[in-house]
Amino acid sequence: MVTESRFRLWYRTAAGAAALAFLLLVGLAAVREESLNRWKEYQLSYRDTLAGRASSILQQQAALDYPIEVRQISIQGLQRTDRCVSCHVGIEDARMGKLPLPYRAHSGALLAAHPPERFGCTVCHGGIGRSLSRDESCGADQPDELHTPFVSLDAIESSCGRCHLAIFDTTLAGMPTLVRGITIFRREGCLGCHRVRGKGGSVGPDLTNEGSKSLRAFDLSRVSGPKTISNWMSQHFARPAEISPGSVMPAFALTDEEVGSLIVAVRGLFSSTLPPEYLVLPLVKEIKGATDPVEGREGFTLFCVACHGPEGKGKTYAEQPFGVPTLANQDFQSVASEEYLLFTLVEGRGGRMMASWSSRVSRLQAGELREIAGALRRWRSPFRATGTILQAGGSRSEGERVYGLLCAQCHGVRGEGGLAKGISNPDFLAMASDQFLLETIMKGRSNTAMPAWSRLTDGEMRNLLAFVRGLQTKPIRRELTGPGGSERVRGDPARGDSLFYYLCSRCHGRYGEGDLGPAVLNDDFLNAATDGFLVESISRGREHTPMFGWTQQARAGKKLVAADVSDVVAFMRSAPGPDFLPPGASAGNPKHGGELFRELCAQCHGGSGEGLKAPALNNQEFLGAATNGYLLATLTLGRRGTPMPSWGTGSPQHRQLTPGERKDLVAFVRSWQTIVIRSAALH
Amino acid sequence: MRAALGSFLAILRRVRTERTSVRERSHSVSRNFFLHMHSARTHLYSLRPGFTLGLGVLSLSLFLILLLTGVLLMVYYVPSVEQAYGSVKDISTVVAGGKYIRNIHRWGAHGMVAVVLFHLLRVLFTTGYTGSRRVNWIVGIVLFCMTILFSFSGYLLPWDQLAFWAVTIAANIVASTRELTDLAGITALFDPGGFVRRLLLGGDSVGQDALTRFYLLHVVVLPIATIVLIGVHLWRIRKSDGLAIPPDADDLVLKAGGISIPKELEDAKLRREHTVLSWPTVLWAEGAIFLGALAVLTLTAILVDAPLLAPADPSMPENPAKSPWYFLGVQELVSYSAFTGGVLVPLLLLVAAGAVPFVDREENGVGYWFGSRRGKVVVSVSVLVALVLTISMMWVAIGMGWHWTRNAPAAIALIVNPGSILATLYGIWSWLVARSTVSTKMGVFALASCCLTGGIVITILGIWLRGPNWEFVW
Repeated sequence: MVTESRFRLWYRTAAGAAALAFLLLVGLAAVREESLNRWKEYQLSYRDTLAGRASSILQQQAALDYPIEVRQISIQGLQRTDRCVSCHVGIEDARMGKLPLPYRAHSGALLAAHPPERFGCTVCHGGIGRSLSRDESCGADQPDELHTPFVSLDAIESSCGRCHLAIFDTTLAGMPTLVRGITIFRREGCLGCHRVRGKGGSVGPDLTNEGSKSLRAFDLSRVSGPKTISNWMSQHFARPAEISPGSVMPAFALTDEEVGSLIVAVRGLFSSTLPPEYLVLPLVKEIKGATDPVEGREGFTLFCVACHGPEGKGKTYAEQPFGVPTLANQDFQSVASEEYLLFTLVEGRGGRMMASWSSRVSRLQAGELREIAGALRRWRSPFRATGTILQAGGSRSEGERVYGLLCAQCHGVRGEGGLAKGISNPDFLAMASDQFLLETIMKGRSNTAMPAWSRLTDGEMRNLLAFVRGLQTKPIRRELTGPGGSERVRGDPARGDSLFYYLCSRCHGRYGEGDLGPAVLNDDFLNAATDGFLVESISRGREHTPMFGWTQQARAGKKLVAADVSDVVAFMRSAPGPDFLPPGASAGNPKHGGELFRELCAQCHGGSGEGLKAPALNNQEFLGAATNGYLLATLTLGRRGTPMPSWGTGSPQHRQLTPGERKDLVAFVRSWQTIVIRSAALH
Repeated sequence: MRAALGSFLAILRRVRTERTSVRERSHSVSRNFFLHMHSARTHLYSLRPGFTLGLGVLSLSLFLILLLTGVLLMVYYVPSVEQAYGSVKDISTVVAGGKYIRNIHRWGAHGMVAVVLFHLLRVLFTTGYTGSRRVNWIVGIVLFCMTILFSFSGYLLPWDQLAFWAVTIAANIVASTRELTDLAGITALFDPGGFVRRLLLGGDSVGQDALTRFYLLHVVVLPIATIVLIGVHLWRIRKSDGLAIPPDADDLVLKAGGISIPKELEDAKLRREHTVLSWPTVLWAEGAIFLGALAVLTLTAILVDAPLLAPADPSMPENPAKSPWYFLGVQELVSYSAFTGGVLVPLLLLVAAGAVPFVDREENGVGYWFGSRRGKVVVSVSVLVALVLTISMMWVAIGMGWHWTRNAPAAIALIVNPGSILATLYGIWSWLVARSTVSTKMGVFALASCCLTGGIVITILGIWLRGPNWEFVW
């Protein structure tokens, strides 16, 4: 126990000591804050430099008056305050170009176009602008989760992307690495799998904001060497599946320099949160989805070449598990119709790598998709005007040779027909002009088994024409085949619709796609045939075929008059197609086709058509795009340049299949179709 | 006023206090608005440092320091989600003295939570809650809760990753009554946890509304309420005639001897009470504690900076997301059962704490630490028992894994979990103690020691031994 006075003494002493300690500590803190600052040291040293460089008394005085204080740039529009200039004092003084950091003036002429009072520093360089400590603002030890970490100088051009990088409209002067990187990005078709700003594929992750991703957003566990974003990216480009297990990204063969540029470009992708007055107009348009439509070839490069190759060659099954079909194949192009290509593009192939590129998914407009599909036609021998071909005659014997090689496998040895319609029908040849025949040969009949034979030379075509004319028995009817025959008839399409449905579709198919009779609601056919041809064919018919003359004989109690025929023709001219692809007739025996399939096709196409070393045939989207005619033509012609043989011609390794066998195979493949896919592509 | 000034000047002149009259010294306290909370006389026993450890005064000192530094911080802080982080960063970097003000505030806040807890324990273990002090004990419990709420509401204000995710976690713990109401299927009708959570956050997630409410709580509601309650708390001390000291404190004073009582205090009545005039001794004591706290806080502020992580990013959760240290014990229990750990156990603790003066009405042992030698034994043994029980329970839970709850019905998992098991074991132990010692006070001491020890163990677990995904790290 102690006395009151001793308590008093104790507590008084304690209070005194504590007060003293407190005052000392406050003094210490004040000294620490006022004097022991890096930025103050730098500014003092800079003041000395200024004084040393002064070339007049006035300048000397100005230098000595240089205020030592915290300096900052406060930018309202960006809601930032950057205090970098507290240490980087010489940043705007051009005389300081040769000094060491942090006194050095900014390199290049960038500050002229990007004045610090409007942009500050961190919008390009990252880091914490408000800090006055080096480690926090621009040091190596940044917190991993920082959204805007300090950008290392070798990737500094990626920051330009915040305001300047528009993928589809690039005006990027003065940023060579970024420009190179974006060129590579576009050239390699990265948008085929990755989406940027709404446009692109959805196989890989969306890269729109890739530049904003902090270190923590990357899985660095399998990166060798320093765990940086650039390292992750460069190793990912070289060995994607190793860095990101489960990735189907192909490895790109790029040089180290190209990889470096690509990294800068990818890190320059930002969905910019900066106010629009900081962004270039092409970028603003892109963010709003208002860019000019991409034209066909450019679209193919941007979206398709990563898988299909820049030359459309595709990938073999050795290079890629599912393989990628070659688009640059003459046989394919001659058989695939516009509808086939657009359908495939828009609907994709379910279960395979080919994604749907419909507008809803890829944000590509319908016009752009049509353009891209159209751009594929550069691998088909171009269609030529028939006028020049007709200027000379051809050799019948030569024509017979060509016919025997190419046409007889469907049209029969003497043109009597078989798989395809007979071409030797006298009524047909009497009213078909040379123009009509050449157009048919050149362009084929889309979605039927008649391919486009534009690969034949002019001479070969003339010869074929001569041969076909040699089969003619009735004289040609000039009033139909001459210029006079191309008058348009007038009729009521609505009446024609119901007449067609009740009378014509029984043979010609519900949608005129062809069955017993040829495809008559076929664009190629209708483009080649004149109204006179149509009227006459309907009225007079084709002798020795089921097509009788509708104005001459009554069938099912119905005999048509000329007005009826005009109505039908008017309907044919105006009928829009259905929103799916009708397969067409399938008159084969699927059971027999199955046996053939298992014997001949299953090693490559798989026992149930699931695709092993060849495309999957049981794919519903494929069966929705490919009509029976497509399948038949593919079977018959094969795909030269790929392992698919021509079964119509036969070869030492593969026997020739009869037309019946081919029909059976087609019927078997068709039996795998379980749904009808209606597509917006076909409107 | 004149009297106070006179005696103050007298001190400055180094005049021995005996020269100032009793009346003057008495008046300097009783006639001063700011000082008249003190009684004119204070018992010597109350002034012993080893008795109270100065914890009550320390709590108040810390509160005043926090008030002052808080007001200074309010000059620059902006409670908006866009500007909060930047304003705190500015305070730490460019505002003159800002870094130290902020650090003092931060460490003072953490310190105050601990000191208030220790003050509670001091009053508990020196039986300062009996008789007329029962109401004050309840006021003290309320003040403790307000301290926690203070610290919690301030935790969010920097709006960095630490703040954002800590508050997200704690708010979700509040809503964990849903575990129980979901089982009963009555959540749609009765969801107190969800209600409180929405009340706190002003919405379903932590955003501007939460920041505004927390700021409002932190700078308006809680300070006013706390000041009022502190006033009540101090007034109740006066009403109970000062601190709870042993009834034989005078004899103790006599026994130790050596008291020199000034001549004017030869009045028999005064001599018997062995009190001293509050001015200036008690004021010196309080001043020493206050200045000491200030000095220690300033030293800490110079040595260690208050943390400020990256700006809050709702799309990038911290892993592990940890609530403030005083909630980490709760969070550890919550990881086994949200309701039991988050609501039941804390509520039980609060109710138990509040019920102490109504359960234990024994008047013996007042003013002695742990009441008696027997009390010391009880406390030491209880601490050991709690250590053993808690460590083995957590060993089992962590070492063998607490996975059986995955396939068990939710009700079973709610009832059987480390939190409830430990609570039950502590309860059984303290009941056994109460029975064998035939003393409710010993039972209370046993329970309090167990809860304290157990709480410390699981808080240590939560702070240092839990890593990403709340996995155990050693």
